[in-house]
Amino acid sequence: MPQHRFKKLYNGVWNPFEGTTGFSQQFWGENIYAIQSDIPPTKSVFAALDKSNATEVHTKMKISRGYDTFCPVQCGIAADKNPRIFFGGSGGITNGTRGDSFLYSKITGDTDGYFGYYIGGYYGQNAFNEIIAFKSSNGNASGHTVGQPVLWRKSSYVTGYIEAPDLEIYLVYSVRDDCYYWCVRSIINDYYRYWLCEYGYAVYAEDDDTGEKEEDVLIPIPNLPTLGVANVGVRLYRASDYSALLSYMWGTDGFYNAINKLLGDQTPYECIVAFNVIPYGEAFPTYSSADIIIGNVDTHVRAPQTSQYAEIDFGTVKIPRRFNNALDFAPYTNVELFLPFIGRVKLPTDFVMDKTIGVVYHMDAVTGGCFAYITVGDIGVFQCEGGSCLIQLPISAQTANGARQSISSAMAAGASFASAGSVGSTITLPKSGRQITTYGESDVLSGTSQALSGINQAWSAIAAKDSYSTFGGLSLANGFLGLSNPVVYIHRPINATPSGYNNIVGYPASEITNLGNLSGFTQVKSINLGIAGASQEDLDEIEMLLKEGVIL
Amino acid sequence: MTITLYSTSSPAKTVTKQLSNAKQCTGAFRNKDNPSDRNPVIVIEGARNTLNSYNYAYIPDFGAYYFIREKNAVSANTTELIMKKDVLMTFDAGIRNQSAIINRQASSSYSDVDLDDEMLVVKRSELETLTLSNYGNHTATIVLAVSGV
Repeated sequence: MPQHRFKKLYNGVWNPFEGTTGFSQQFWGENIYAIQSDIPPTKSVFAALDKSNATEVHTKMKISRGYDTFCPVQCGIAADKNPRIFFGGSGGITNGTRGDSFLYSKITGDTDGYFGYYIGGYYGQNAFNEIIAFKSSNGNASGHTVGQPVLWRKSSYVTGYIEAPDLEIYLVYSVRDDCYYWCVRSIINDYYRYWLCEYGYAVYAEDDDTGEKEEDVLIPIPNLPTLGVANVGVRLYRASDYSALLSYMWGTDGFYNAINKLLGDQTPYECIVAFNVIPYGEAFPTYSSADIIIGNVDTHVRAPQTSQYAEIDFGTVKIPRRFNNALDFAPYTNVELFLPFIGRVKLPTDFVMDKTIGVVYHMDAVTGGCFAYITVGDIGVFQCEGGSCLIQLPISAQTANGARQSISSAMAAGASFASAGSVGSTITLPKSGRQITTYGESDVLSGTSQALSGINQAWSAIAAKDSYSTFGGLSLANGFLGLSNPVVYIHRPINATPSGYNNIVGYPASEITNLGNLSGFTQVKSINLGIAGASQEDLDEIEMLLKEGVIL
Repeated sequence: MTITLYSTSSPAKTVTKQLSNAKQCTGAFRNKDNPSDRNPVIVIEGARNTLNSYNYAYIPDFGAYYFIREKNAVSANTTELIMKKDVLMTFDAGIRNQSAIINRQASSSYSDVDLDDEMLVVKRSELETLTLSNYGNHTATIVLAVSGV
C-alpha cells in the first residue's frame, strides 16, 4: 500500500448549482484530496496537514451574504472503496434549523457508500455549520438516496459572525489503522474534530481513472536526521552570550595555564567540536539549561541545550498568472527564487506557474550546512539547493588553527616558556617542530614580562587574523549580510498585443472538431475535404482558404 | 439567364456572407459556348452607373455565389460583369460539415491560449517580487558543540 499518496478528487471552482442565477458565486472549493497518513489522524496530524499547505490540501467553501441555505456534499468513500466526490442538492435552513431532508445523487453502479457533507449558513448575526457523515441506505431506482446521519454528526454555531465559517475537511486514510477518518476544522473558531469512518474500508487512494494523467506521487520533505553528533557524546548548547564561558576558559589563572590554553593542542579545548553563529536561531529548539562540560571538565557555566538539526518553514506563495495565455510561461516569463545563504536559483516556469511553491530549510548547526527544499503543489519536493550558513568562531583548537600558528610562531621567536595545563605533556610547535615539555599546574612558574608580551602578541595575532571561515558564494558571513527570507522574482513581459486580436487572427488551438461547431476566425491546420458538387479546383481553393484562415 | 446581384460588406474570407439589396437581372455569358463557372463573364441589362452598390452575385444556372471583380460599361444600357466564384459561400454547408485539425480559433472555447502564440507581441520585461507566507524577522544564535563525559 503506498504511503503519502494523494488522490485528487476535485480541483477548481465547484458550483453545485451549476450556475443557477444567484448562486453562481456562492461556493468555491479547491484541491479536495484524500490523504494517506502513516499514523492515525490525531489533532497533531491534522495540524500538520494544515501547516504543510492548507490551501492545497483542504477543501474550503464559503457562503456569501444574502443566502441562508446551501448544502454541498463533499467527498466520501464510495462502494468501490475509493474516495469520490459527490454532488449535492440544497436544503433550507430557517433560524438554524434545517427543515427538510436531503437528496443525494447516487453514483450509478454504487450499491452502498459512505460520505459526508457540510452545510453552512447564517441566521441573524450567527453563523452556522454542520458536518454530517452519511451512509447511503437506499438504492432505489430514482437514482437518489435519502441520507440520514448514521455515522456521526457535529454542528457548531458561531455567534457574532454573519458569514459562515470556512471549513476544512480532510478525508484521511490511516495506513496503520487501515481505515479512513474525517477530519474537520472550522477556521474561525478553530473547532476541529476527527472521527473514524466506522466501516473502515481497506481502501487506498490509487487513481484508477482511465484517460487521465496519473496522479503524481507526492515527494515529501524528509524528516530531520535522527543521527548526529549527539550520538557520539557531543552536547549542543545555544545562547546569544557565552561571555561567562569565555571568562572561564580564558581566565588568567596563572601564566602557564594561560599559555597552555593558547596552544590548545591536547587540552580540553580539543573537545570543542563547533562554536558557530547560526542564523534562524528561533528554529533550533531550546531545552533545559545544563552545565557546559568540556571533555572531563565541568565549567559550571550553564546554557540551554539544543538540537543539531532544525527545520525552517518559510511558508508558501502562489505564483499567479497574469496574462492567462502563453505569456505566463517560458520563454516569456521566468521565475527565480532567492534563497538566503544559497543565492538565486532558477525555477522551471512551466512547473511552478499558477501553483503554490514552498521553501523549507533543513539546517545543521554543527557544520553550518543548510539544504533548501523547494516544493510545488501536488508534486512535493521538486528542487533542492544546498548551502552553508555559519560564522565559525575561533574558540577551539581546530577553528583557530591559523591563529594558533601565528601565535606559536610569535612565541617560538620571542619567548621561552613552558606551558601549564591540567596534565603535563609534550607538544610540538607547529612551525619550528621544536618539542616542548609542559608541566602540570603544580609546576607553573610565575610569569615574566617577556612571556606576557608573547601572550599579548598572541592576542594581537588572533585579532589580526581572519578568523572566519567561508565556503564561498553567498554562504557564511556573506549570507548574514544578505536577505534572510526567500524572495520570488518573476520576470514578466509587458504584453503589447492589441486586445481583441483573436477576432482577427484567433487564439492558438490544437483540436480536431467539426467546423460547424465553430464561429469566428478559424484557421485549419489539416483537413481532408470532401464536398459534393465541388470540383477539385474548388476543393483546392477551399483548403487553401481554410489554411489561410476563414470566418465561420 | 437570370442573375441576382447583392451588396455585401462581409469580408471575403467570411464563409456565410451577409447579403442585402437583392436585384434580379437578365444577362448572358460572354462565352456562350463554354462558360466558366469559376470565372464567368456576364453581360447584363442595366446601365453601369446603376450598379455601383453591387459587389456580389448569385447565378442560379451554376448554383454558385460570385464576387463581382469588375463592372465594365458595354453600352448605355448594358454592363459586363467579370466575376470570381466564392467557394466559401457556395459550399457553406459542405464546409461546415467537415472535420479538421484547428490551428487557430477566435473562441477560447475551442482554443488553448496556453499554446505558444506567435501572434503575441511583447515588449520589455518587468520584475515582480513575491514573499512567502512566513516572511519575518530572524535572529541568529550561537551554538556550541562540545564532546565530553
